[in-house]
Amino acid sequence: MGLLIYIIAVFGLATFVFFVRKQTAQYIAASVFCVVQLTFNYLLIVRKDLFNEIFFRVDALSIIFISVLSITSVTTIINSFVYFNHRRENYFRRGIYLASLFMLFACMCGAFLSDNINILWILAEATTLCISMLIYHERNEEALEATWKYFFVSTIGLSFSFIGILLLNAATNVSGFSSLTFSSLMSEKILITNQFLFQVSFLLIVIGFSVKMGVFPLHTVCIDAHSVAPGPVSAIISTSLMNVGFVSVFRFYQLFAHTSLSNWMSHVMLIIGVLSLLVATVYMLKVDNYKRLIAYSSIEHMGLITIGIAVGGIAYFAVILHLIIHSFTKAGLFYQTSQFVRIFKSKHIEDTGGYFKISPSGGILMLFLFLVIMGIPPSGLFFTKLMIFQSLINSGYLWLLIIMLVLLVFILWAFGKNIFHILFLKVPPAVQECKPKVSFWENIPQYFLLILGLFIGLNPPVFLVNIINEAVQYLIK
Amino acid sequence: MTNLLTIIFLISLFYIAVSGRLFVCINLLIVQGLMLFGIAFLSLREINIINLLVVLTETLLFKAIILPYYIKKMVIKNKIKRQVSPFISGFSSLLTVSILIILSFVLGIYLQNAQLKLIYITAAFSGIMTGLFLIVSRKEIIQHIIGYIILENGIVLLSFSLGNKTPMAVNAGILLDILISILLFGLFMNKIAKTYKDLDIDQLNKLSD
Repeated sequence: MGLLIYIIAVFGLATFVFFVRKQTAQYIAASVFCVVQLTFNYLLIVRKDLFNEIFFRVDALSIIFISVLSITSVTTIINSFVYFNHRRENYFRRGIYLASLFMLFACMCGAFLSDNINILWILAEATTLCISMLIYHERNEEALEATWKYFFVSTIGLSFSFIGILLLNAATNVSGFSSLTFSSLMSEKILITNQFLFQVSFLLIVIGFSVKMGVFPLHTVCIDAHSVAPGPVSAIISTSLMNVGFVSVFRFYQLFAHTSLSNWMSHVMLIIGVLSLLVATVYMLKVDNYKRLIAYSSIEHMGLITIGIAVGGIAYFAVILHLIIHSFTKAGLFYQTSQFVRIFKSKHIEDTGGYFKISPSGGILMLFLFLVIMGIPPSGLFFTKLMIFQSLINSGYLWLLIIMLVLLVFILWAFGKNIFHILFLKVPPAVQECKPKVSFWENIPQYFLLILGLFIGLNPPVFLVNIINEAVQYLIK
Repeated sequence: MTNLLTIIFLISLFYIAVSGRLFVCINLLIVQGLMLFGIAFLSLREINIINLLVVLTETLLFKAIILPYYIKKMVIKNKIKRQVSPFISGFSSLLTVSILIILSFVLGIYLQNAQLKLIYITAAFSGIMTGLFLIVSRKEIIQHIIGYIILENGIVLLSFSLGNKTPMAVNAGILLDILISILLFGLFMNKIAKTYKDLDIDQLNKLSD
C-alpha cells in the first residue's frame, strides 16, 4: 500500500510540474517531492511491513540504495534549480526536466525494491525512457546524438537481458520459474540442468545490464550521455542509475552463487571488471573533456566493484560500502562540473584553469572530492579498496592485483594532472575578462555530500555496518 | 497450423532482408504481427477474457496496427527516402539471413526439450538475429527501428515457446515499455530529421575520444 501511495504521489507531482509552468509552482512541487521522498525513505526503514507487496519486497540492499538515492535526490534537485537559474531556462523545459526527474527517481526506487525479475526489467527499461529525456535537455546536436545512442543501445541491451531472463527458465530446474521472485528462488535449491543455456543467459543478462551499471562492454553510451547531460543529470547517471545496474546484476549473481557454476560466474565478473578498469585507464590518459574524465572514473570504480563481487569474501562488504561512498563523492564532482561549464564556457580541459582563484571554497571542495574519489586517505575508498585487494590476494590473484595497481597508478596520474590543471593553472584570459563569480552557497550541498562520504568512510555507523552485512549474508554463508 | 504461421514468419524475414523498398518492410511488419497473433491465439490453453485481451492488444493492436501505422506516418512526415541503401548487397543480405536461420536451427536442435519446441526456438532466434543484422547492416535510422521491432517480435515468440507463465499485469508492463520506447524513438527521429539533412547514422559522429 505504501509503495502505491508513493508512486501515485510522485506521478501526480510529475504531471503537476509538467502542466503548471510557473516558477513558484515548480519550487513547491520540488520541495513536496523532497518531503515525499524523505518520508518514504524514513517509513521504509522503520515500518518495512508497509511496503511488502506482491512484486516488491524490502530488504537490506534496497534500504541502503534507496537511502543513498534519497540523499542525492535532494542535492540533485537543489543543483538543478541552480543550473536552471544560471541558464535562465524557460519554464517549458524546466517542466519536462523536473517531471522526468521525479519519474526517474520513482522508477529507480521501484527497481531497488522489486522482487519479481520481470518487474525489475520493466523498471530498468523505464529508467532508460526517463533518463533519455533528461540527457536531451540542452537540445543541441551533441545532446541529440548522445541521447539517440544511449537510448537505442540501452534498449537493445536490455532486450538482451530479457532474452537472458527468458532462457533462465529453460536452464534451471525451478518449475517454469513459476513465481519469478528473487525471494522464493533464493529459498529453494536451484539446480542448473542445462549448463550451456545457463551460461548464455547469464552472459546476456550481464551484458544487458552493463549499460546501466557502466561496465564493459556497453559502457560507451554511458560516457557519451555523461558528456552532454546537465551536471545534476550526470550525477544521477553516475550514482543511482549505476546502482540500479549493480543491484540488478548483484541479485542475479546472488541467485546462482551456490550452484555448480558459481566459479564460472565469478570468472566472468572478473574479466568484465578488469576490462572495464583497462578501458578506463586507456581513455583517461587521452581524454580532453572533464566530464568524460569523471565519467571514466565511474567506469573505473564500477570495474573495481565487479572485481570485488568476483573475488568475494570480505570484498562483498567492501563493495557495498564502496558504492555508497562513491555515490556521494561522484555526485559532488558532477555537480561542480556544471559550475565549470558556466565559468569556462567549454568542456575541454585546455580551456580551463585557475578555478581555485575564482572560487576558493569550490577549489578546496574539488581538491577534497578528488582525494576521496582517488582513495587517498582519509578517504573511505582507501579502506574498501584495501579490502578488495586483500580478497584478491586471498583468492590467489596476486598477479592480477599487481596489474590492477599499475592501472590505478596511471588513473591517479591522469585524473590528478587534469584536475590540477583545472584548479591551479592560470585563469584563461577570455574567462578573466568576464569576471565570473561563484556564490559560496552553491557549494553547500556538495560540502554536505563530501562530509557525509568522509564520515561514512572513516567511521561507519554501527547500523550501517549491520545492514551491509545483512545485505551480503546470503553470499557468505 | 501454428507451424504454418511460424514458417510464414520465417519467410517474412527473408523478404525483409532483400527488399529494397521501405514500405514493403513496414508491410511485412504487419504480416509478422498477424502471424504472432495467430500463434498466440492458437497456443492459448484456456481462453479467458483477460488473457485474450492482453494477447490481442500485444500482437494485433500494437504490432500489426499501431506501430506500422506510426512508422509510415514518420516516413511521410520526415520525407524519408523510400529506398533502402544497405552497406551490403541484397544477395549477401539474403545469404547472411539464411546462415543466421541455419544457425538458429542448429541452436534450436541443441536446446530443444520438453519445454522448448524446435520450430518456435528457430523462428525466435532467427527473428532476434535478423533484427540485429538489420541494425548493423543498414545506415538509416528508420531501418534501425524496424530492426528493433523484428528483434522484439523474436523475443515475443521466444516467450511463447517457453510457455509464458508471467502474470498478465507484468506482461502488460513489458508491453507498455516497448510501446513507449518506440514512440520515443519516433520523437527523437523527428528531432534528428530536423537537425540533419538526412537520417543516416553516419552523421552521428561528434562524440568520441
